[in-house]
Amino acid sequence: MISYLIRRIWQGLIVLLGVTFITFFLPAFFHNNLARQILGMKAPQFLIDKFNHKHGFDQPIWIQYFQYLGRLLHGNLGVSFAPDQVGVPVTQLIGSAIWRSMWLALVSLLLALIIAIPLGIYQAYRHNKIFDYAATAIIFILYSTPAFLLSILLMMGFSFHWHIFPESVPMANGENQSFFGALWSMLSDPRGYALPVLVLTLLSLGGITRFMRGSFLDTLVQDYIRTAKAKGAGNVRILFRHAFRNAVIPIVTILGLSLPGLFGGALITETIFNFDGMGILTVNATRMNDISVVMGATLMFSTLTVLGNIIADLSLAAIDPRVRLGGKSR
Amino acid sequence: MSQTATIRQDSKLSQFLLSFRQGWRVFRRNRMAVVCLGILVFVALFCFVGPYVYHTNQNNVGALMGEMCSQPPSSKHPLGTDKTCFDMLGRLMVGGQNSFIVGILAATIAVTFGSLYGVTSGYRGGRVDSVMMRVLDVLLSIPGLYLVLDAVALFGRNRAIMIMIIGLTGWYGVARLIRSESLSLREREYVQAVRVMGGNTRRIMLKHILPNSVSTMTTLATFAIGDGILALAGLGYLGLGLVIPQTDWGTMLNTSFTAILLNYWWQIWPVVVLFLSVVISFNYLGDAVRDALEVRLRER
Repeated sequence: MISYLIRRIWQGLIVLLGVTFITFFLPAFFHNNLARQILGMKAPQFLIDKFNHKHGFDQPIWIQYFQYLGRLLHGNLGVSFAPDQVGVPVTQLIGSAIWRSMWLALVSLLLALIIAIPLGIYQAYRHNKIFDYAATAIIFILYSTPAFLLSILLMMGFSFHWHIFPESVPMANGENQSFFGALWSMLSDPRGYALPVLVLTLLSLGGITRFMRGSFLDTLVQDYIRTAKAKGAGNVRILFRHAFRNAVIPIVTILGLSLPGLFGGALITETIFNFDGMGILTVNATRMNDISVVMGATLMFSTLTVLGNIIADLSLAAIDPRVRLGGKSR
Repeated sequence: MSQTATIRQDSKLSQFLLSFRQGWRVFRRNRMAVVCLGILVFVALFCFVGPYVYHTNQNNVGALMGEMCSQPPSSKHPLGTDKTCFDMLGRLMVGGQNSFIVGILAATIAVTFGSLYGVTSGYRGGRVDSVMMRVLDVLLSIPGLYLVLDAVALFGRNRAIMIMIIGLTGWYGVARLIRSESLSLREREYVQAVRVMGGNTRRIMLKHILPNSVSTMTTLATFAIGDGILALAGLGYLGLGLVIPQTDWGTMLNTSFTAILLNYWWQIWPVVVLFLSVVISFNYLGDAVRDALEVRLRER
């Protein structure tokens, strides 16, 4: 187990190194006149040279890359170059946005699991009956609806037409941007956060339910289920004692893999509901050409994705003793 | 010599037709899938043939000056007009054309590139495989939307760029699946037989492994078209879609925020209904095609 853990972490680090390669060189090739962009087209040459020298842009690109890596190792993601926040460290910007986004994603995922697992089990249990067909149809529609459309439709219904939920979430105010503050703010004002949570829950619901149903259907035809039936075990006992443990295992993998999708979906949802989180931070930075923030956020997401995959693999190995940890190729 | 060649071609063609007919027989049993195919054919006809029947001005913004904009449906404009005075019914057709074209061409790029990448990685194996898979891991861990946003900001917003970007960010899943399929196909006896007979790697990959993954590729392509249409709509929604007078369904929905507040229902619901029915149909069709091809393989 320990050697497997070390190998997975090692692989993850290599992947992250690859990501830094992309986050560094992609912008470096395309936005090479950062100084002009910030100091203006009419800035005299000596100011430009001074700016480039100060930020190390006059060095060869390879040196710059290693300097960038060195700064990353010290937890320094650079500073923002956007006009309204020049010089603010990227880590500070991300730090004030990430906890809100994280709790939003986690709460929605938890809600989705609470609904999806029983729903998937019931569908598999009554499969090809009317309930199964109806649920499949609804889930299919949810599964095909893009985040922005779902957000618009829910907003139209719940806030403009019925006035149940507000159309934008409570503003970020410093207090609700900390790790616990963000969670507390969501728990103490459920109405304010209801719409984005609802959208993200519905978006991840479809995939998990479909998967759960399929996994249960596969499990229910296994020999040991037939044996349990033959012994006279009741339906509840078969479903929860015999089938559940085996059928729920693949969900762990899906959860790990859905992490980037969850953040991707949040990007658009956050923009629509004016939720000050990583999504708005990144979209605004892209619009302003604020490279260091975009690079920092991308790196952040990639790290989360890699971590999510490692956690998924490890918990899979921990839950299911049949998973073999050896083997060179995946 | 050439005669034998034609005979071989002929038998290949008839074989293809036979397997197609078998697949269609299974596919036809799935009523919903036939309905979905019907919807898609209908919407495609509406978008591509419609403009020849229902003539509207969809290009010249200047000629619309002086008309009343955002008008509710009337006898002159069956679905009303939009913010820039274009006829909504005609606008739906233009938007649909672009959505279909971008979806289909982006899916073609994604499936072609992904299949070639996957088959190379899977068949070569060893070090090539692990390097190629690590590269894929890197790409997978970067949220695609950022790459797309960046690329659009850098290269502009015309249709060819959109097709390239959506295609080049959509092949990861294809590559993974085709790789795992070639991993099992390369151990088959017929592949080993070709290797013994001296067939080179390229020949084995292109002529023997890929043709046997056609069923997976068909399924993936169907899903990829739906994904492509969704991706274009997402871009359009963020205000980064095609530029006026061109349009796509996502860009049309982008303006619906103001339409909601003003209660201009004719600017929202037709787009929503068309868009959802097309995307749902492609997704359902993908499932049905996969089932049909699996059943066909089982029946053989």
